[in-house]
Amino acid sequence: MQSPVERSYPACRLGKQLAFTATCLALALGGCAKGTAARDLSVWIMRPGNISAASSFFAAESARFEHAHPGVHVEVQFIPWLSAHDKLVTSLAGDIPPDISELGSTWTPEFAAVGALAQVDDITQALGGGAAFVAALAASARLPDGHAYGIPWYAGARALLYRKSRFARAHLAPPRTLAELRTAAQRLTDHARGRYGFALMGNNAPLFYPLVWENGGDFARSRNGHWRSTLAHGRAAVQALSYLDDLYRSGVAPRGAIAWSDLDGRTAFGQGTVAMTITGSWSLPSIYAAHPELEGDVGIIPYPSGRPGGPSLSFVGGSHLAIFKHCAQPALARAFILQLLDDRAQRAWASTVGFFPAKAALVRSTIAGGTTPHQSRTFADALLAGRTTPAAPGWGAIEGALTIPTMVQAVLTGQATPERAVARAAAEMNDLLESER
Amino acid sequence: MNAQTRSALPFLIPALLVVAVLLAFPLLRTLWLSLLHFDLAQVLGSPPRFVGLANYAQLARSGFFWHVVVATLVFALVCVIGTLGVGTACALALEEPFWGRAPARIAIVLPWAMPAVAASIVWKWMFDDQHGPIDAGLTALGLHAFEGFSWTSNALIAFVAVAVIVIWQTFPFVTLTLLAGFATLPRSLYEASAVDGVSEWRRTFGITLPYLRTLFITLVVLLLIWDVKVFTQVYVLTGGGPARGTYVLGLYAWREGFANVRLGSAAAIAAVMSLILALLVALYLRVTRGAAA
Repeated sequence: MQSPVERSYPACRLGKQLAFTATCLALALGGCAKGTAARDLSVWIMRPGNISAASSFFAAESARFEHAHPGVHVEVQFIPWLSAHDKLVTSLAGDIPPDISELGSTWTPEFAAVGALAQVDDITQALGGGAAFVAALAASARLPDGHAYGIPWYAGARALLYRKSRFARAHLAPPRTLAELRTAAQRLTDHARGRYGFALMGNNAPLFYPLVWENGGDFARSRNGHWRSTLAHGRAAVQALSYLDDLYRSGVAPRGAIAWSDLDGRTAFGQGTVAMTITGSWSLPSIYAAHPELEGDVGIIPYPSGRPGGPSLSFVGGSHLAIFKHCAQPALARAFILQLLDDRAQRAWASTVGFFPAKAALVRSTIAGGTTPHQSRTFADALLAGRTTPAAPGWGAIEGALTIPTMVQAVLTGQATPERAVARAAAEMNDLLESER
Repeated sequence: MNAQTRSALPFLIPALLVVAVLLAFPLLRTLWLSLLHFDLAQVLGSPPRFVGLANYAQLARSGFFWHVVVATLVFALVCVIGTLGVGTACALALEEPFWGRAPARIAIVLPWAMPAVAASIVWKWMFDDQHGPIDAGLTALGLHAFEGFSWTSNALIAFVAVAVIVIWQTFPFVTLTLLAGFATLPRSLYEASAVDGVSEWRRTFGITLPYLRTLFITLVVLLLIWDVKVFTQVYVLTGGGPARGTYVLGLYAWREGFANVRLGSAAAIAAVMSLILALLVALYLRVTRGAAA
């Protein structure tokens, strides 16, 4: 028979175990309910190539902010670009988005349209209004309701990179027009030596956009907040596709280039497989890092225009900083964005990632003098004169569905005529623009 | 419910609960999702709209969806035939005594053990049209048509390249299974056939392979199920391109769900895929029961 002491001991132990379990559960659930303390600021930044410099930049900026706002802790996470959209959607579904996130400029309308982002008109005004920024980026931060939902942070435009030595050996001048590009690409192609003239990247929409603009076309327009594709209006897209198809069939690019992205084109350019490629200023540091012998041999000229003396219309991309509606500390989030947008921080960050500051005045001052190698005059000009894709909420879905590269590849593989490919792409765009409305 | 079932029930309940949580819940959730309009707005909290079978109807009307279904099934069939062929040939070769057989039996496991993503990235480089060793090797063998040959600019050729990766990764499973099967064969049959002077060739096709018929059927169905679900190799090598020419059902569902954030439509594709797999499993059960009988 058990003594009262023996009987009570297991009960006492059980009670302790239950209390311990309950405490653990409470702590765990408390942790789940609120991942960060009330004065914490969570910030998601797209992971750049130069991660150590980016980490140093944010360590310094966070320290500066925390010094000015005692008791606040800034927590910066670097998110890979490729999985960033998925992570943002998942975090929103789980009700745990960051307070501030960098967004690809084409994602801002998409997240704003579904009500995930806070209006940031006051920050835009404090920084001088939309006109203070690179126009293309300011446009994609604003919805048809007239409000801004993102602050342009950094920007980049494409230009044509060419190997000076190969052009000199072939006694060729750098191409200024699309016709000259074709001629030069043909002259520089030597199949026997595995050398090609041009990186015709089939999986790179920014290569295609300017060709449509050159021919007077565009991609989508809004009427009363209702977006419709304009790709099939007129012959601009058909002419653009015909030009690329003609270029591809003339053998100036490897057959496999049909599947190439910007990265593949840049790699082939560095390795010497192609003599010309279209890419952004951010590519230069990695090209020189992998091929130091190319320093001094890379020429940079504007995206060739459709006619002699015509404007060069490059695609302008970049990113915004946005505040999520879930943010518990909107005033702190605004203050941190304003800090990241001051001139000194803008210059430092742009130089870290190889892009340009989003403030137009800073881009102009870069043009005026003191440029770093990757921030050459050509890229800066392209940025101010360039265009971007429509600020439609459904544009992110069109990018996700690879509608434009699929259209280009359908023509290059001979699966569809340019007319048929354009009609199919326009129908798909309308479907996506409609479903994201 | 008889007494035996009643007494077994308490012991089965924990296992049934685990199955319900791990299997039934995701399956039923997917089926429910396929009946809803569920886009980014719904992910962010807007109420989902019940649309009945509209997602399925949209798929049924889409010529591209049927193209992907056929492409997936044909691709899976080709992979199964290729995997069985290579796997059987290797098993027969490794069954014969030769110098270095033991290390060869170990080495053959490596492709099977390698993560699919890592293997696909290596193969992607090998298939590179400018610097890849496959084109260089074939050209060195005198096949000059492969000089700078692009494996990813034509959908059919790209599917061939993906099939090579899938077969390379899966054939060790067939080889190892058959080697285990060979060990179960009665030695007396081989001794009798040797006394009768039966040739090696006839012994293989007259005794070994027919004796392992059940094993082959199991392998065919298992491989078919795996290959219908193919995703990683296609995603890494082609991403579904060129011009969506190498889409398979898994990739299609993923792109709809995670790139286009159309979860209702993605769930409908996943449900159709599950139905195809369920039919294959039913076929497997029927065939194995028939074989056992």
